[in-house]
Amino acid sequence: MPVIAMTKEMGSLGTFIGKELAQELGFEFIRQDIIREAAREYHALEEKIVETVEEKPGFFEVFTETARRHHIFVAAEVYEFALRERVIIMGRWSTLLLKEVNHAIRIRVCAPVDTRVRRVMERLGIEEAEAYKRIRHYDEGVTSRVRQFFDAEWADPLLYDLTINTGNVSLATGVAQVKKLIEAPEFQPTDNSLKRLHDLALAAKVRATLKSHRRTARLDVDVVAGEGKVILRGVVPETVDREEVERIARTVPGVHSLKSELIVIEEHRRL
Amino acid sequence: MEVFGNLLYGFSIAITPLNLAMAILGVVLGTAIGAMPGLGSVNGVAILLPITFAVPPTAGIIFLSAIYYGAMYGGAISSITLNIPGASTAVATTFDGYPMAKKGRAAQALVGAAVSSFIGGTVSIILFTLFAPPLAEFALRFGPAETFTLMLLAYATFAGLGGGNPLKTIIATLIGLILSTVGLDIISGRPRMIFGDIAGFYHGVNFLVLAIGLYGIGEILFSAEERLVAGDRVAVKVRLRDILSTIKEMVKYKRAFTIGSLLGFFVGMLPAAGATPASFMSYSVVKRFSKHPEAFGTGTIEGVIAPETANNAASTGAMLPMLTLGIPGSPTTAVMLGALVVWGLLPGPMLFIEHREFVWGLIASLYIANVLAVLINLFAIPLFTMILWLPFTILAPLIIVVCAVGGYAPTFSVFDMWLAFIFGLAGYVFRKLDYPLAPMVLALVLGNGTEVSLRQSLIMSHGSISIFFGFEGGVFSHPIAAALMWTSVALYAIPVVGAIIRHFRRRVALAKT
Repeated sequence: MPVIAMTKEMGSLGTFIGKELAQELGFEFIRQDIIREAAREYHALEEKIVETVEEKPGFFEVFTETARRHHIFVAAEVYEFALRERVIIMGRWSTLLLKEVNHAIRIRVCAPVDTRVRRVMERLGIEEAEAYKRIRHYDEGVTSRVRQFFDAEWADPLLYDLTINTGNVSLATGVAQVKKLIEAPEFQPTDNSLKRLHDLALAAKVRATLKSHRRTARLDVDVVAGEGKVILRGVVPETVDREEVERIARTVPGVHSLKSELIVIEEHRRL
Repeated sequence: MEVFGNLLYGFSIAITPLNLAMAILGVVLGTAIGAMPGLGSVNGVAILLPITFAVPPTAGIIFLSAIYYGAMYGGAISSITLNIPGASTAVATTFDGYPMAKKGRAAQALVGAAVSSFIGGTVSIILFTLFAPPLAEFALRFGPAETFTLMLLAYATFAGLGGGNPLKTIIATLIGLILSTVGLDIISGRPRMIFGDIAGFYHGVNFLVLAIGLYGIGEILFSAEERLVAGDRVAVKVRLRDILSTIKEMVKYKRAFTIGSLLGFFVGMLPAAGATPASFMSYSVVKRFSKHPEAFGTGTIEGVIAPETANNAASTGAMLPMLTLGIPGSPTTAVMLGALVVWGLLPGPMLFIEHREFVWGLIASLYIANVLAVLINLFAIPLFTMILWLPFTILAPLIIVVCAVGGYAPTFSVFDMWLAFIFGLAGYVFRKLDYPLAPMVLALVLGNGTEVSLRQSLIMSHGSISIFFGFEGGVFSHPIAAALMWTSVALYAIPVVGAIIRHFRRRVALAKT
């Protein structure tokens, strides 16, 4: 079965569509689990990860590793959940992360601002100005994070297979549209697309594991995986760093062989 | 604005045919030398220095500084196409330059390197123009105590910031100082350290002889032995389209350019740190603040921008203390300072008053030659890559001959030529034993000044070293000297404190297990 990755604007009823779909198809609806699992698995604080996903980057963030680490943890969990059969992943950059996976259907749910403001006012029982403020805050947060980590525009239609504007399209119609895509031959998993997902998941897991270890957290290493074989690339300051990266990478389940192309700055320095 | 007046005056000097020709020649030769694996700016400046004896000092310094930053441009060429750094200043460029070339983006990497070099150089020259006059004016107030402590600080930066083994650094510094005492005593005029009565030692050990020996002959011996492992040669063709598209792509990396230029300039000013440490530091810092740090080492243009901006910025930054304070900021500027002495100029703040044409002609020529360098580099990259095919068996003897001439030329003494060969062997041994050459070279070039200022200060204070801590006759009167002195003491303490901390950490770690 295809994997469904969704993203939604605040007040666009995306969650309702997702939940409805999950119920009708017998899929798992994944939203909070990603961050909870990321926090548990990689020893980070849940609320801080939420900040990294939804809040605009602050000025001082440039000086810390935190956001980058959280991004890597979340990515690893998104792939981890995508490996399960029959899942709908809501948000958490799933639409962007699963771009290269052919059996992932990527859906964006949106609506005109006025409609969204009205819905948010009703749901939360707040004033119009407050609702508008919250919507703008959320949109800006997600947009800037998508730019920061993916160099992409959140609203770019080319990122999605289907965009549902709930300003005009009813919930039921939206759900029916997605169901049609699920049956479409182009979104059925193939050996290749499954392999690709496994590789991405393995690489993301190695990356996240490296970022969660105290000794290697400050290093930035590019990890590429292909059929259990992992290639490490990048630049690290010292020989011990490379040894540590290689050692930790090997401990990740699923890593069968490791090729390290790491460049060690120390070894190239000579007075 | 006085600066603009001076700068205009400088341009009127820099565009005279001879000076312009020397700048072009320097850039071309510098780029070629930078591109040749094993030879960097310091070797180029040392080896080609005798040429400057045929022209006036202003043309000479323009030539040498053109070689200096020409080499910064050239080093990237072999780093990118061969994975062999053309010079130590371009080692960091191999990290991303060669992976880029392997990905089929060699042209972009080369263009990126040239444009980064240009931006780093230009920013640095602007800073240089603004900083140099006030710094020189400040330094004019220096007396012997200030001069001595400043030189001490220069030696101390090597021990504190130079990396490597601090003990070896101190030994190298002392060897340089000892060599500088050979010859006639500067105050009493009596000969000393002449090993009985060897005539050749009467005029002292000429700095250029040491420089040519260490950086010319020694380097050739070292390179002859070292087998450089080249990656697969990457064919390059740079089209106008590549140049334009790369420049467009690079606009995104303002942060990398800013970090590289500023870091390069200020690191370059430190005596212990020339363009090489600056390029490494810039690479690490730009990576740290990059949006995609994990892409570094896999072939990102940001990884080319960082070191290439910084090494050019540093090469100009290193000239600032050389001209204003008489303290070289890098091994290459140390050799240039030695050249100044041979030309009969006294490096330091007085240059700005007594030799305006020299100082401002040089500064203006830096602007001009930087533009020349980027144009030459962008359009003649294929020519420079051809230099890389020149076999070492032809190049090495050629350089040895030039070095022999260089050893003879400053003093017209055959004795000095042989001395250069002996220094060459010594330099080879030093390199093999991992002793740093730069502190030794700096100590020899500053040795006389150090000794004179030390002895003058001690005469002033009637033999008390308290003058270096600011006190003369019990009165606190030399705040600058005191500040410089304490900074030097702190720098010398860094390795000691570091060793103590490491020792205790290890004990704690052992206790845990």
